[in-house]
Amino acid sequence: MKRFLSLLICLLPLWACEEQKAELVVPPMPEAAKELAVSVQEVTSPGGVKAWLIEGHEAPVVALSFSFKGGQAYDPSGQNGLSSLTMSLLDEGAGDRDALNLRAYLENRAIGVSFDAERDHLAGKMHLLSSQKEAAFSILGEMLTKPRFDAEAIERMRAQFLAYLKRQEGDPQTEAIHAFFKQVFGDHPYGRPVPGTAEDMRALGKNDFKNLIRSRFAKENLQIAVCGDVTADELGQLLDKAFAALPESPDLPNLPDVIPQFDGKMHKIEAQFPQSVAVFGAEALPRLHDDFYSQYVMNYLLGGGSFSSRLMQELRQKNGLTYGISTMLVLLDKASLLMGTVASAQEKMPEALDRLTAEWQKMGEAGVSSEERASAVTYLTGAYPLRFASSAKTAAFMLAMQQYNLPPDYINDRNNYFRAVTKESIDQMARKILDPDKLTVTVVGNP
Amino acid sequence: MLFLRFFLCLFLLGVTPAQAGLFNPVIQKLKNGMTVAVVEHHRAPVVSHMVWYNVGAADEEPGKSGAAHFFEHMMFQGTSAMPGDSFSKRVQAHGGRGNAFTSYDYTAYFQNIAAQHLPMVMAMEADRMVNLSLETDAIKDEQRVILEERLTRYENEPTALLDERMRSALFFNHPYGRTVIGSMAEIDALTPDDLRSFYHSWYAPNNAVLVVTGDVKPETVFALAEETYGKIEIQPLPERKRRSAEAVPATARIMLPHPEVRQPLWRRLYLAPNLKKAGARKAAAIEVLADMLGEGSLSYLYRRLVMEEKIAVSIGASYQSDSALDSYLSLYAVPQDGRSLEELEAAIELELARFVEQGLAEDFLADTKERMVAGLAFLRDDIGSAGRILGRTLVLYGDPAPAEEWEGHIRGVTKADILEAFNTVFTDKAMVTGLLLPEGDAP
Repeated sequence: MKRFLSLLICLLPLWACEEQKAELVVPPMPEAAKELAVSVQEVTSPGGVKAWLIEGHEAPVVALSFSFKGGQAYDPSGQNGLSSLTMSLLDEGAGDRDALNLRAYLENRAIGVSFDAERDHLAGKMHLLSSQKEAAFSILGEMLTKPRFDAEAIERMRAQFLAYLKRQEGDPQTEAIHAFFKQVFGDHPYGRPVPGTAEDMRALGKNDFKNLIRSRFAKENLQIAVCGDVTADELGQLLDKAFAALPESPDLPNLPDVIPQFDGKMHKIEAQFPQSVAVFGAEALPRLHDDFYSQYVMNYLLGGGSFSSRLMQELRQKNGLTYGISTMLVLLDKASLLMGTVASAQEKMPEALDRLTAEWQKMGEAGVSSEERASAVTYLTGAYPLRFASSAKTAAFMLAMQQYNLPPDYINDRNNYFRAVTKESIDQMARKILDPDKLTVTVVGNP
Repeated sequence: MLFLRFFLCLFLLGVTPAQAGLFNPVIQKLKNGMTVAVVEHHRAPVVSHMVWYNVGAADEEPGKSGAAHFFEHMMFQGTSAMPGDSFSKRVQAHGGRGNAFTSYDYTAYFQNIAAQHLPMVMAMEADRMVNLSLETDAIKDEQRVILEERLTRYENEPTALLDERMRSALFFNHPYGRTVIGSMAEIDALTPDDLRSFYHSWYAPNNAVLVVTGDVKPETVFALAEETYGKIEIQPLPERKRRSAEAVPATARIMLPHPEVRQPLWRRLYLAPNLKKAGARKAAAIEVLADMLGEGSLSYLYRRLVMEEKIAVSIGASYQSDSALDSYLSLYAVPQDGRSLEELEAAIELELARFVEQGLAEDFLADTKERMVAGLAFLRDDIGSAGRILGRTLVLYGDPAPAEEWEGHIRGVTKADILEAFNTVFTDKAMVTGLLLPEGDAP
């Protein structure tokens, strides 16, 4: 119904009258509110392979997420991209099956497999129908222990990466991120571009890939999470099919510690685009620090929280300077950052950066309000069940928990940690992290 | 007999008994013409709540490109009961996540939130369906944001600039010939009255579809729909001018050199019939054809040109039958280092010419169809799928069958169907070729 502002015929003087404000009428929910209840089972296979499992039998689907510690940051000097190229080859031929045969085997059974190289981890995901459990875990075992690294596949994947890197060369967003990591981490491996460097990737060969598998795929540095239509007993057998043949211990090179350098300056790179892209940030606290949750809420209020964040409100909603500005916590094994990006028309970027700096400083000096704290905690705790809206999302969440060395109970304790965050602790985090002298920026454009 | 009576009762209640369809939705229509579909999903105590409006960029007046998308932005800028940006804030305050998107044929708004807050988001969407404030200042402020969005999606993305030119050539003087976001000049020229007129013309319950997926009973959703959306009156809709637009077949070639491009790219669009024009059988055949030609490393073009000839680094094909007007089959390819786009194009055309004789084998067809349907269970596992797929189907066709029966149509495609589909699409009479080049390079 169309509502019209109605003028009340008042018996009282006009100054006591109020125009009638339309009210939103929300009908009651007839069904009772349901709490998220998940329980993590720690499964150890007969062969000693460990995994976390959340069973769910509503759909005949199983999702697996796993990773080996030892990612792109461990690629030797001059071999930046070894991890990416190796992982891309795992589903391009295994055992007796060459690339096409393996692809047909997987696709005919609707087994979805993907591999990825992150800075700290070499990761894999599998999505399968529970009717294909045996086949899926067996073929995964072949991919991990008997990759073929056929010459044809190597050249094809290499060419794909080189074309991708060439395409990214001209992309302002990519350039800004690479420049930022280089600035902050210098010559440490974290400063190298992901997925790799073209020159290095041209020189890689079969022995390099084999060495990587041999040295980094092992049970000790392996973490696994499974969600879906499988029981703990069944999973035990399946884990052995995929992982039991791996060696016990990896042979990882040492990844040095690093202190990221934030010089508080703006670094500009020229490019001919009408819109400039900036990446900015400062050092943050690691995942297991006592104050992590306060830091997380602080980041949410600054720029992590979509439309309601300070930066979105100031730069987009109030001043129309950007389509999007956001911040996130980047939690690497050896360093933690609070990092953000913003894109703004060339001529508006100076103003955008000024306002960004002002908001950064303002939260650092004056902290947040109780209302902000309350709304952040309500959102973060209320949105938690959305992390479990599919088997794949659930498995990914459990893997992340393991990577951060959190215990299985965390999954049900998590909201309490956020509820315990106080306004004072958030303010303290802001003071500590949002130091304007540390805010470092890389800008790509024509500023 | 009891069984029969039970079924009869279900029909009288307007409930569809469970079948072997894709999502098996339960669907009802409110008295005001709004369609409400419910799909149960009990993995987590959450719901996906998605409203689709049967209006998009293709319904814009000439010279007012970007109106539908601009308007979508304004849906987040307040009603009397929920002023300013309190819509988004209220969703977030209840642990929900939401967004919206605009396309040529439809505009959709969704939230994922704990099931217990479903009544709230329904009341909020019903409110903004008819009570949007559309204040002049808010409109002017948002205009700046949209201009930035245009820069992010187009001026800063050479590939998108090429797509824009190709689309305008394939769909010349046609509602699909513009971008959804609009041109910089036309976005800038849109007035508050343009947006108000757009709103009052198209945003009505009889022009909307609701899909709710999640941990909730259908009867709960229908009851809540009556109490929220059900209170809004049916509204006359404008004459749908876009429905009669036909693309005029022609061939064009677009070359776009760009100073920041390092990696050349090749693309092509072939005009193709949509589901309505082709019919379910032929549309399914074109989908299977696109898959056989260019979906993944088992596809014909990939095997021939990437793996065997080594002239392309990657290659792909796709086709979408769900389109209110003419659709297209699109191809893209990236050349190997040292091979020109012209060489690549010649090779692609040669392989296409060979496909019917050499690529169209019975077992390849059978395998492709199996692969296409094998993963449907995954769609049911993800709470967002039904809203996206069923919503689009219901808003375009008013009938869930194209989605629910998709598997059967794909399975039924024969070799003869593929041949006919091939001859329909690859006529060379209605296609646009696009080349993205580093500045100063010859193709």
